[in-house]
Amino acid sequence: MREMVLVQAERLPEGVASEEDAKSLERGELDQLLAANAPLAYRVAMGVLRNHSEAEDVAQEALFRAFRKSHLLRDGQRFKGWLVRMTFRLALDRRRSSHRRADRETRWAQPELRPPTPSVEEMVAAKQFQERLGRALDELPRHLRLVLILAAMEGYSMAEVAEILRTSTGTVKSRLFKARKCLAEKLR
Amino acid sequence: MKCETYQRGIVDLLAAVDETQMPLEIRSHGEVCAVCREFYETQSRLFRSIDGGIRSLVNQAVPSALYSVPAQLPEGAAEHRHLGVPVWAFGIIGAVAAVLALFIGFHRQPQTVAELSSPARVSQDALESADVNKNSRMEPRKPGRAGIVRKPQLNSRPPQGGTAEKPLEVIVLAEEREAFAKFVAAIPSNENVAVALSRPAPSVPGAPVEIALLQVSSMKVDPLEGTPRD
Repeated sequence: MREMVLVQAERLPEGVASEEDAKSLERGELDQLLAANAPLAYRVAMGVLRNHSEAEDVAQEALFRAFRKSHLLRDGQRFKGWLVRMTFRLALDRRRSSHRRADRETRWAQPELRPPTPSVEEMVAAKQFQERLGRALDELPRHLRLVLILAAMEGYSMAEVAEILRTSTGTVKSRLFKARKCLAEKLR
Repeated sequence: MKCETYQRGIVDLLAAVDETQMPLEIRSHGEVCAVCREFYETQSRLFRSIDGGIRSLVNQAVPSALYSVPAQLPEGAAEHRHLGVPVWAFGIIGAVAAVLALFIGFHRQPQTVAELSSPARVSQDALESADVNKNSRMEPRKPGRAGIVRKPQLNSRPPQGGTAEKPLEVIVLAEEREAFAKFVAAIPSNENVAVALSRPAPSVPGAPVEIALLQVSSMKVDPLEGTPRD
């Protein structure tokens, strides 16, 4: 297990840095990690919330929390999985509160929130399917949902998803199989 | 092969992540059964829609504002550690230490009481240093032992089989003498009576007076002169 400071030390001139240098580079590396994983956080949030502005809010909050709690992370290589879990939890919390808010505010009270009437049948069908898919996703168990979201992201292989979740590739495949089967049953 | 078995197998094949080859038995059933072939087509479309729907959901363009989040984070807002230990850990360590101290104190208390309850120690200590004068028992003693007088003929023994054989004496503070005499007079003729005992007043001003329990097996009380008895 490597400390984040030690990871930085590889980039330092002559292998040794003053304390001030180490601190500034630690912050610098943290900034790099946050920037590099911002899309991941956003996509995880989007997979749960299915709303751009809410996903952006949640991703920002997750990044800020990761920044504030970065001292808790001893291994910089675990940053990605740590951020994913944090974002996922925050998104789930946001989703719950959104549901509660939606229950309070009826669409009749706010006509501007009504979905626009589709003009093309295919669009209607696609939108309806997307809504059903969203509802089915909401009903999936958390551990299946997170795997499904991560596996659907472009650029992430099964091995990478397994690494993020600190589990085996076999477990990821098994969860993915269950998740897809479960979704198909719900949408059939 | 039954259609039900075929359809179960098809769903499992489509849900599987790895590209697995369709078993010959299933494939041959699909070739002869139009209903199952239709089912296969439907399920294939469903799984493609699911995959496409989730992909389009999670692979949307990331707002550019998110990339600049690190730059917006304030300098020094991160929570810090002290000597590699998070701040909250100090609270936990303190709480554990307090619980341990309470636990140890609770378990050591009986021993301390037993030690303090030793009448021999109290009595001898007091007698050696108090310079007791039989003719002037009622008078205050010299500084540092002032107010301590002998309370004669109070026979007692230590709680756990002490070795004292001769009758022991209990020293009572002068200002508590009358109250103690009344208290002792009121004790029924019952053995194994617990009595509160004050040790001799400490020579150091301000030092606390030790109080402990004394287990008395038998006692003979001679009230002091001028002490009224009920």
